[in-house]
Order: sequence, then C-alpha cells, then structure tokens
Amino acid sequence: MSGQPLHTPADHSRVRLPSLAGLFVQLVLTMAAIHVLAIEDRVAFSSYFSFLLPLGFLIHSVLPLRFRLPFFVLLTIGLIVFIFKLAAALYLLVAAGILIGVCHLPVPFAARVAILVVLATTLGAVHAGAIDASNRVRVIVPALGAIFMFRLALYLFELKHEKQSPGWWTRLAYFFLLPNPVFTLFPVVDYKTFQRTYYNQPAGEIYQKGVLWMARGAFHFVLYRLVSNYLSPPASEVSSLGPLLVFLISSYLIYLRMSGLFHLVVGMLCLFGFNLPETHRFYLLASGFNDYWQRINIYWKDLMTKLVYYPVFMRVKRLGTTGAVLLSTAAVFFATWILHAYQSFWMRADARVPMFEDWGLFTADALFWGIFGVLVMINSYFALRSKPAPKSLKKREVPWSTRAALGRAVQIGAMLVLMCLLWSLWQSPSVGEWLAVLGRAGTASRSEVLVAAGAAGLGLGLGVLGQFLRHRGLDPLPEHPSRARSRFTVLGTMGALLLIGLWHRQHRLPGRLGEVADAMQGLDVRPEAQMLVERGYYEGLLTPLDGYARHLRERFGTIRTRDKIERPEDFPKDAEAWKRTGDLRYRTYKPNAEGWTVGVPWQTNEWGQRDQAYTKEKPAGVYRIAMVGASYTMGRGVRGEKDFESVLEDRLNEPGAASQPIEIVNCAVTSYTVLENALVIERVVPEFQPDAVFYVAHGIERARCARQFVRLALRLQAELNYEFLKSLVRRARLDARQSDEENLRRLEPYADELMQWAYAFMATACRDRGITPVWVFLPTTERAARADGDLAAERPVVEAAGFKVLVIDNPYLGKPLEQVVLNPWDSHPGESSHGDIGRQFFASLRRQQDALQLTFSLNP
Amino acid sequence: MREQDIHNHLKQFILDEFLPDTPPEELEDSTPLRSGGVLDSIATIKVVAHVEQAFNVSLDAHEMGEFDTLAQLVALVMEKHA
Repeated sequence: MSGQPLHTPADHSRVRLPSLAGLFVQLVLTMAAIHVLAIEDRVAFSSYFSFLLPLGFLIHSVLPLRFRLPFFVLLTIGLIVFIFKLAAALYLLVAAGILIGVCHLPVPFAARVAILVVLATTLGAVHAGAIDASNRVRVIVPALGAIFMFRLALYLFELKHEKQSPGWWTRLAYFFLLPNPVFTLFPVVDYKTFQRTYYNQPAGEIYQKGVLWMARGAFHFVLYRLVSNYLSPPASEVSSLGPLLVFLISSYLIYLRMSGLFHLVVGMLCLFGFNLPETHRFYLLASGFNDYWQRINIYWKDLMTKLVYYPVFMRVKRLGTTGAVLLSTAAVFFATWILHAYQSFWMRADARVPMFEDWGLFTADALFWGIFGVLVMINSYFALRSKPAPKSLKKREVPWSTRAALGRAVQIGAMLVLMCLLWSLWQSPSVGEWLAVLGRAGTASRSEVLVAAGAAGLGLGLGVLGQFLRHRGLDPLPEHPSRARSRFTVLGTMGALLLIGLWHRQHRLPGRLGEVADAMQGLDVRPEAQMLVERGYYEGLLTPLDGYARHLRERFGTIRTRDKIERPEDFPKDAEAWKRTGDLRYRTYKPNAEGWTVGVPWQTNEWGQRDQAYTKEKPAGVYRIAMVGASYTMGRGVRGEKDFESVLEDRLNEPGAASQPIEIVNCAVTSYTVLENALVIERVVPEFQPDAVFYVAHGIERARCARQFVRLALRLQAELNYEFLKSLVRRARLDARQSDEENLRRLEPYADELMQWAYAFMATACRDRGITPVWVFLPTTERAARADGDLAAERPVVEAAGFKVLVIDNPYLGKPLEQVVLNPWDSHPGESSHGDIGRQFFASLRRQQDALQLTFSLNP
Repeated sequence: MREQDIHNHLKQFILDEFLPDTPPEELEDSTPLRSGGVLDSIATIKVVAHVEQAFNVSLDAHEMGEFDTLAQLVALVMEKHA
C-alpha cells in the first residue's frame, strides 16, 4: 500500500527551513492564544491540540511525501485511541473498517447502499437506546456519526464513478481527519476536492493559509463571545425598535461561532497539505439569495449540489430547464431541512432532534428553510432569464462609479436585513413568538429611529468606502491575501489577543475592561436572565453540556475531578432528595437526605437543612442568625464545613471575637429566589427563634424572581396562596399556553412590583416576630465587576422595605474569575473562594456593625 | 465533429454567456471555471443544457461536477461522442 498520492508534484510538498520555522512560530502563537482564550474549551480543544498540532505539523512537513498520508492517518488514530482508550477505540476502528469495507464489496451498487442503510439503522438504534449496548459502544457513536454521516455518501457516490484508485492511504485519510474526533460538527469535505487539492500548490502557501484560517477562526470565536454577551438580548426584553434591531442582528451574528469552528478545522487540515477551499466567503457581504447560498457553508452547498441538485435536475430535465431548476432547488432545501435533523440526531449524545419534539420549533424550522428555498428559487428563476453580471478573468481598469457602489451597498444592506429576519425566525421557539417580537418594532422613540437611520447610513457609507478602497487597489478584505499580509495578520491578531489574555490572567484588567476580557475568554458575564437564553440550531449542537463534549473534557484529569455534575443537573438531581411543600416554594429538601453536589458529598440534617442540626429552641445566651439564600449560601460544590456560612460562624466564635456565642442556621435552598425565600422566612425561620435573618442576595433578584414566578405560577402550578400574586397573573395576562419568553415580556412591567412585594413580605414577617432583617449583598462571581451598579439598583428597594444592608466588601479579593469559580462550567465559587467570602463577610460585619445595630458586638 | 470545432463552439458560448466583456485570449483551456467563480450551479446547468442540445449527447448527473476547465469540458464531450 503506497502512501504516494495521485496528482501531487513532489516539489510542491517541500518547504524551506526558514519558511517552516516562521510558520511554526505563527502556529505556536496561534495555539497559545487559543489556549489562553480557552477557544472551544467545550471540547478541550487546546488540551488536545496545543502540543499535538505544532509537533505533528513539524514532523509531517519534513517527512518524505510518501510517508505523509500514513503519518496523518496514524496521528488521527492515535488521537482516537487517546480519547476513547484502547478497547472503545478498537470498536470504532472496526466499525469504521466495516463501513468503508462495505463500499468496496463486489456486489451491485444498490446492494452496498442497502447494507449500509441497515448498518446505519442499527447504529442509530444503539444511539437512541433502542438496542442495549455497553458504554464503550455508546460513547463512540457520535464520533462515528461525525465521521460517516455525510462523507460516506460522498465516498460511495465517487467510488461508483472512480476511474483510478487514489490509494488506500488517501481513502483512509479522507475519513480519519485529525480534528474530526474532537469536532463532531464538521464541514462536509468533498472527496474529490480532498484528492484534487492535496499539495496542489506549493506547501508553504498551503500551510500559511492554514495558519491564517486558524487565526481567523479564533478571532471569529472572540467576536461571537462578545456578541453573545453584549448584543444578545432575550426576546422578553425586546420592547421597542432599538432592542429589536440588536436582537435581529445578534440572531445572525451568533453564526460567527460556526464560521469560526469551520475555519479552525479547515485551517488545521491545510497544515497537512490538504489545500481545501474556504468554507465561508464573506457571507455577510452577500448581495442576493443565490449569492448568499454560494457564500455560507460552501461545503454544504457543494454536497447538496452533487447529491441532490444535479441528480434531481437530470431526472426532471424533460420539464424544461426552468422547471427542472426550480424543482431541483426545492429538493435541495427539503433535503437540507431533513438532513439538519439527521445531523442533530447523530451529533447529540442524547440522540435528540429538538425540532421534531416541539411543534413551535418544528414550524419555525420548516418555515425558515421553506422561505429560504422559495427566495433562492425566485432568484434562480430570474438568473436563468437574465444575462449574468459581466465577470472578468483578469483585473482591469473600470471607471469608478459612486452610484454603482451605493447600489451594491444598498443591495448588501437589504440582504443583511432579510437574513437577520430569517435567522431570528430560525432561532425562535415558535413562529408566534417571532411575530410577537417583530410586532414591538412599532413602539419606536424618535431617538431610536434616528440612531437606526444613522447606523444604516454609516453602514452604507462604509460599504461605499470599502468598494472605493478596493477599486484603488487597497482591498480591506482580500479573498487571497499575500503571504506577507497573512503573516502580519496572524502575528498581529494572535499576538494582541495573547497579550490581553495573559495580562488579564496575571493582573486582571480593571472594571468593565476586565469584564470584557472575561467575556473574550469565554466566561458568561451576562445578566442572569440572559444566561438562560439558548438560541438556535447550532447553539443547541455546540453546548458544553452534551455528553460527548463532556467525555472529551473528562480525558483531562484537571477538569474531570471537578466536573461530574454540571449546571442543568443542579443539586440534588435525585428527586428523592426533594419533597413538595404545597406552597409557593413548590419543593424543599427532605430531612436526612444524602447525595452529591458537583462531586462532593452532601447531606441534610433532621430539619432538611444543609447544616449541623441545631435545636429549634435557641440556647440561652446565644445570638442566633438564620441565613437565607440560594445555591451560593447552601454551598453548591463545596464540602459542608467549607462553605462561607460555616467559615463565618467559626470566625465569629473564635475566642474574643464577639460579645457572645453566635449560631448561624443555614436555611438556604438551591435555586430559591426572593419569592420562595419570603416563604422560608415566614414559615421555617421562626421555628428556630433567630435574633436576625441574613438574606444573602446577589443583586440580580429582579430578573431571577420574574423568571421564577413564571415558572412557579405557570409551569409548576405552585400554590400561589396570596391575592397579590393571583392578581399579578391576571393583570400581566400571564397564560400557560404562551411561551415563557412571552410571559416574561408581559410580566416585565410588573417585575419591580413583584420584587418589592417579596421584600416587604420578608421584612414584615421578621418585624412581626421581633427578628432583625438584614440584606447581605454578595455579587456573583461573574458580576463582581458590576457589583456597584447591581447594588445601587436593589439597595433602595430593600431599604424601603425595612432591611438593614450589609455589603460584603471585595468578596473574591479581586482574583481572576477562573481562580474563583468551581470549574470552567460552573461559575459558583469554589472551596477556597468560600473561605475568602467567609473571612470578608466577617471583616465587613465587623466594620459595618454600628449601622446594622445588632444586639451583639464584634471586637475590633 | 472535430475536437477543435467543439472547443471553439464551447469557448464562444462561455464567453458570450458568462464573460461578455472578456477578450477571448484571456479564457484559456486551463482557466478554472467553477472553482474560479465563473460558473455557479445555475451556470453549470446552462452549460450542460447547451452541450446536450448542441452536440446531441446526454450527460450523467455525476458528470456535471466533473469539469472545471474548458479543456475538461471539451474532453467530456469528446468522450460522449466516442
């Protein structure tokens, strides 16, 4: 079996040593920036590739050409063995061998297709859980799906018409592409293009393109993170034209994550000589629907053209060219719609296809592809009837026309608006909700209209300027940048991002700047309400919570030990640890329950509290505090004796610290908001006869309590019991048949009132029983940089209700976020942070004790 | 039909339909047509429809993606004629 590929001039494969050294430096710099910015840490990208890729690239590029394909294939197989361990990797390799082998069976083509369909169906049944299989088998199915779900069809198609064998190493390399075991959402590389482009240009040029595209990919990811943090309002917060425009634009721009991913993947393949074409070509600058279809996810378009468009056209060409083209286009969009569901099935470790599980999603999805298809059909109809715009093969002097440039800018702008609209539809939970959001455009203030018009004017101006620069030979966005320009771009952007990331890690940038740096590094710095928003098909596929992504991360021990339970499986996930309350709280912990919280043991005492068992009757001479709150106060992810409540209690009871013994009863329950805690203070706290209640809040109570109210009142059907709450449901016209987003929007005008009611309820319950209510402000780890603003927003409300306010000063000691949180996937404070919070809590209490007027005192 | 006639006919068709302002000498036998952006999928269909009609041949679906240059297109037509 020869490793020498077809069609590859040997001299194309060589690169001079200085040039190779320069490329290596750029690659190392890019991987360092990717590591510091935690790009795709969802799948532990930098852990897998920081060393493997530069080293693999270096060895590969100095090997004789005939050894390169075998080296590439073996490198990928080595990665597979590392990811799955030997036994599961062998299952994968055997399954891959069978699938490829079936394509070569000496039986009729139709029989080979039939056998493959049977095998795929069997694998699908294993994936969906319809056939029992060991974990070793189940874990490899998403990887098998990622490798074979589309490429096998292309392979089989080309095999049928193959005139000359490209050699087995080329065949194997096509399936065992190095990034594929890590990236299951993978561009559908065309088999013929894959063969044809292998070292079809000088190696140095291909490698330079590879590094540039990887850098572009990383840059797209950073932009995506900024858009997702700062330009993605939830639909419920869209109340007028301004927020609506931001919402629409962000709906489209979050696709930057996909384009970033594909740039990374194809860039990596270029580093091994596969001179693949670009996957996206300035899709934001498309000037028509056909143009758009040719620019966005080009590999998908090529797949559809080869397997659907041309074959359908040839079958129905008797209808005439126009009819056949329209029918073929309709077939392409129907296939695209179905295959997106098929892709979702294989890629998701839970084998879910969300658009087929929810009628709202289904209609929005179908409508998106339907409208898109019809628009491309209309575009095709006119394209068939008109002469195409003149193209030229060589650059030639064309007189400048401002009018023509403006016309093109308007065309691009209009296309952008239409695509924003369509993408927002695709990402909506239902068509009704999408229409409801659009309906709010009518409520526009004069200033919003002016700003929108100004932004449109600026966009058009930039469009004309860009064309003018291009006309003058100063193309700001060249499709094929020179090597020097590529080098400069890589070194400049990756160097700058690396410096920012490193500086922020060491010294933490101040204030908002620090928050932006956090966002660039992948931390979620949005308000709580926005963090709950998940938008669209690709966001659903690229979630870090997917079982396959988790498996990839778990191969690296540093993450694995702290990463057993993630956000959606909030503790305690075991339903047996909860009991129904029959009131607004809906549920609370059972007494003497046991379990785990993010990998550490958890248990409740005989009263259902995560704390030592205090007697209900307060001992004589003791000052007792009831601590009320949610997961932070409960101590999610930390051992019971290490949470900040315990640390504070220990400090307070150190000899000579306080004027009398102090007990703190931890009444916190994970996920509770100010609403449930109002009931805790009224019904649970008094049983323990406390002198004071410390209600630990995070300054995001308004958004949390509105969302929770919708959930409690409409989804969980919790007993509301209070006339105010019942009337709120009526006044806000909340309706269980509406989506949560729509109900939240309706509740928004009443959110302040709801929070005020809950705080007043708490304070009254305390005062009636002679308990001092104290509102303790502890910002969340992610919003520490915004603490002043959050405090200023809620402090007047709680003071008006009658709370005394205690602010925990600098609870995280200004440490970088990654040192504060439990793990990259859970932003609750870790054990050492709980220690810091407890000590800062104590120090703040001592400093602010005069203002609090508690009946015990702390010694200075 | 001679190969040169087919070549001239197809070259003229491509120039007329898709490159109206291009001097004939710029369209070389090896100029990438599809990967170079001259022919998109609709243009490819126009070319194929024209080839089938002008040369009375029938192309298979997979052959629509086989050619990227004028030389390859001419070779395809010649193969069909053979």
